[in-house]
Amino acid sequence: MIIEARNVSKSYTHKQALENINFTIEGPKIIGFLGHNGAGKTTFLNMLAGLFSATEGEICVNGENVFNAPHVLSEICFVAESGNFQDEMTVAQSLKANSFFYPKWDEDFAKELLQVFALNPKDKVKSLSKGMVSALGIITGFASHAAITIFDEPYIGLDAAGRNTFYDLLIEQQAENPRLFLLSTHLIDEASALFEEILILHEGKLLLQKDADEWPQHVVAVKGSPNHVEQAIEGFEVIYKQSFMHEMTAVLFTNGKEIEAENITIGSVSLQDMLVYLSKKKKVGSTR
Amino acid sequence: MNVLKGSFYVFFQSYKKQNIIFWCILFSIVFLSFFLDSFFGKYISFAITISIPVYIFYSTMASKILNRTMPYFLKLGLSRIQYVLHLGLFFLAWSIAGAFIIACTHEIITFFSELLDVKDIIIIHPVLLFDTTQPFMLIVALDFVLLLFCLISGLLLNVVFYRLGTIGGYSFIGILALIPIVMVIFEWYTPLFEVLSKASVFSILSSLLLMTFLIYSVITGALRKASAIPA
Repeated sequence: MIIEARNVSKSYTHKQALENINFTIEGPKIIGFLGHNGAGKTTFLNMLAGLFSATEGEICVNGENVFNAPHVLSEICFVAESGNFQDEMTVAQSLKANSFFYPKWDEDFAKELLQVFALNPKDKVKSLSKGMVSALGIITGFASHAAITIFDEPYIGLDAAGRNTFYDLLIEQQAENPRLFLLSTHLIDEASALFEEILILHEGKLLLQKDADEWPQHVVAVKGSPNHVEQAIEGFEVIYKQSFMHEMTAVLFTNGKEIEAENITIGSVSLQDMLVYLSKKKKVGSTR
Repeated sequence: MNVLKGSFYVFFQSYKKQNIIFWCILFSIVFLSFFLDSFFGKYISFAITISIPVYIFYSTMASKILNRTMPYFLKLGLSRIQYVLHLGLFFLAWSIAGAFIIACTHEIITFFSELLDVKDIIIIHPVLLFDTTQPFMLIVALDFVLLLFCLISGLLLNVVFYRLGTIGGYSFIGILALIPIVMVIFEWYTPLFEVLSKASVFSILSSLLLMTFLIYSVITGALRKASAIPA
């Protein structure tokens, strides 16, 4: 499965949500689709699932535009933050409804997962807690066996045990039945080890697309005296810079280039920290 | 075909409860009216209407169906055209079911009135405008067309609010409210009434069906690129 975003832009009445996004992702793979609040992740994922049309550009799966293309969309299972089920239907009815729409629906697996997440098939969706609805979404995502499975904040309200079950299932499914999983989450520390590729959106633009293995060589933190750090980071794209006492820390993209300078220390930056820095940068930018 | 079955399954399950509650209340009222009439009919005449509450119920249900179901179906991978097609087919099935229930209830009430010798019970139905003998198939045909028209009209209202937002929706209602005012000003109501009173039931039904089809075409066009989030 190949997902291509070609010059994708999306604007609302008072806001530009996405601006000229271009990238290609190829599965099977587990992809971390990251960014701070308002970065445009959910907008993009909604467009990939055919829920919105792009203002400009197009999103294609295997070369075909997804918008209003049912034969392409039947290969995509989108588990959104909310609104995945009809309130009046029971858990069993919701799963039965899914079986009509996903060609590779695995009913036995869905039943097995109902027991794993301790859901009562007779309960109505409207009577479920937030975590239980999330669990039902997770069951839908895995049992659909869709070639592209999108999880947008799939575990809101789920406890740590539930989230661990989700991560275990993700690894197990990727080993047994490989597909393209797109996972958007804010609990990055928990999930970062699962990602094989990372896409970061920032203020509606694609900031970075890297294989998870390449990450430590591309984003680094440089520490040292302000003079030395300033010298070292010259020519690099700086994400965040902070001075405290007589020490400066700069987080930068190196794009694999080596930093040649003395009296500095170079450290790695975790995904979680990177998003915190991006968020700080955004706040500084917006207050200026 | 599987997707169509799935759509019908979802529509049916989503509206099952409302339908059961509505018909239970309606039948209770009808039963109570019939019961009162059989005891007090000598002193006071009772009139029962089944069809009119059903028209109102169907219009109300259809005026909310888009917000409730379209985002859900789009998430399941349906295209907008598929959604409108499946919804249209569901409306057809729903109207036929409603029309049969209304006609059968008429028959049952008539049967029991004759059996219990309750003669002065009146069942109000639009068919009385055309045929006082109230033939079964004519009631079914008339109710089918009227129910379908109510459903499509309700859906049109929902589409207007969905696409144009609250201001656009209420403006549309305002424009609709102007029609009777314009009719009174230009005295169009007299020729209209004359045309309607002279027209046969079949010409009225076919005109209504044609209008329903036209509204449905407009709805299909309006939803072709609709977002999953209302305006």
